[in-house]
Amino acid sequence: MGINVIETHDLTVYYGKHRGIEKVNLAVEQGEVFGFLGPNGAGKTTTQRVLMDVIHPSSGRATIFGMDCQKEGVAIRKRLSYLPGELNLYPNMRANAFLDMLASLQDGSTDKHYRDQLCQRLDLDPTRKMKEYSRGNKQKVGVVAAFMDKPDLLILDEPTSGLDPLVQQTVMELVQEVKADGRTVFFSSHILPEVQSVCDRVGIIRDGQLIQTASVESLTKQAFKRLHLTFQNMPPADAFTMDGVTETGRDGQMVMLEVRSGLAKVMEVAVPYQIQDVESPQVTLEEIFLNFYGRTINGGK
Amino acid sequence: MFNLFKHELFSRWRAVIGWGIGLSMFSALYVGVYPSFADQMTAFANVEFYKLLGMDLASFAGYIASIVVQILPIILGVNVIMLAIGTLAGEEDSGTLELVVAMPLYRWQIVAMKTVALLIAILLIMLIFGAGSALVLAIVTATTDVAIDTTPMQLYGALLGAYPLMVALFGVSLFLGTFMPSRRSAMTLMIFLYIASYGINSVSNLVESLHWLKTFSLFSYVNTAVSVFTEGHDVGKLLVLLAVGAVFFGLALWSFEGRNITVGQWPWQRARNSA
Repeated sequence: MGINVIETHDLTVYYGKHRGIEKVNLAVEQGEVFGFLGPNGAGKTTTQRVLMDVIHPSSGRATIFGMDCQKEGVAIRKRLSYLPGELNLYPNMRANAFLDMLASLQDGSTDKHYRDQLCQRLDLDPTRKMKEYSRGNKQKVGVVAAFMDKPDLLILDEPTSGLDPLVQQTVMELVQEVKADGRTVFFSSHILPEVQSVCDRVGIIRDGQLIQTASVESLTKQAFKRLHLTFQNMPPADAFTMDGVTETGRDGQMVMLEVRSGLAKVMEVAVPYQIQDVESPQVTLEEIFLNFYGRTINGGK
Repeated sequence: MFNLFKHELFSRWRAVIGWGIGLSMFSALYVGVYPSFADQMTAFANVEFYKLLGMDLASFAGYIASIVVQILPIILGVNVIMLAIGTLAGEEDSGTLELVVAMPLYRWQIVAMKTVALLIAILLIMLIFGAGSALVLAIVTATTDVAIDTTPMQLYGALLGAYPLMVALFGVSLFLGTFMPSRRSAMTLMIFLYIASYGINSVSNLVESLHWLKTFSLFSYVNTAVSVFTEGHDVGKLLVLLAVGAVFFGLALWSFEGRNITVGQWPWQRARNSA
């Protein structure tokens, strides 16, 4: 088990009477890319803001690099960078001047060559004023600001929000480069395929509570298995009506099932109808995510 | 940290020059026209309304004190309130403060750097419009036959003497910006207090039995009577204004330290972690 870069212990935030997050316990290991998933209002941004000491917890505590986020915030923030979900920039400032200012506030040791490379890779012209940028270009400025100092930890709130697919891909490559350097990334996203492609582990938050933390691999394995069985003789409609099994559809001679438990029983029922083919398509993170929220891909409950 | 100060100061250079020149032009307009109407101004000597406002328009010195020394700082005061509330509450509302707070800076450093930068900006505005007003008076003095018993330097000194009032206004506004849930609520309350403070000063000047109320008006600590040109400002009173500014700056530091940025809460809604 690696060293935990981020730890939260019963972290709770209430906004007056309204719940922000409740008893969130999570640990992010050094060198991993941790995806933080949840719908709007679930508590992702609140958690990240507590880590950055932008807001104070109502109870519980959070540590980064073993230091308390509230008491030793300055020392922590020297070693990390943060991309807020609602990125707002000074409209009359040029991107270059803004990046210079952030670099000097950090510690001034930014590698300008690397910064230029980032601008190039993201196709950003940093000589213009912020107010001249589209939303996507503003987001690129935020991405450059987050990556340019090569911090030990990046906390990114929806880093690809507003970016076109090509630039999203570049950002994911940057995340992978950070991981390859042995540095840590904690990021939230709504784009589940990108989480699946770069994250080692994910935490799923719902209604302010962390309901699951697991590796992407184990999540996709443990959630449920999808079985597509092709038969010589089609079984009756209620053949697979049993606990832990859901028949999701039929297509010609094929029956599509989601199996949470009782795989042996399913096969036992299926064999007499002469199975011609068995497929088990991979379950995507998106399906697992929606499964946690009791919804299907097409939006039904 | 110094770069935050630099950003805060240099990003306002246009506003500094604009306000400095704008107020100088206001000064030029009112001072420049006086000689043309000098003989008619004695008619205002006993107008109760002007007395209520603490204005003496009958003499040139009184007119300058009433219009330039009294009114210009009142106008600048509105700008000071907007600057002070805008620098923290305004940036919080617009969303840029979150990035600044996420830098490796103590919150007191953010408040201190912004305060120093803005107080310098306000001083620069006063230096510019003070110089502009003095220049206008020098030109008017040299080109008119009307008796003027005020020198440009006396006017300059009288105008700069209002700086502690700006410091006090800045402090109170800064505090409200960190204390109130939003820029709008802070601005509303501060403008109300500003008008009330001016009103209290005017009424207590006019009604002897309400003279004690003056203590509660920041305006009463600045000499805007014609005597300001000969006697100057009361240093003790100016120190009171600086002390008010310092106390509220301290309160702003305390309030900002506990503020949940981006949330917009009242202080009693901000749960502090006891863990």
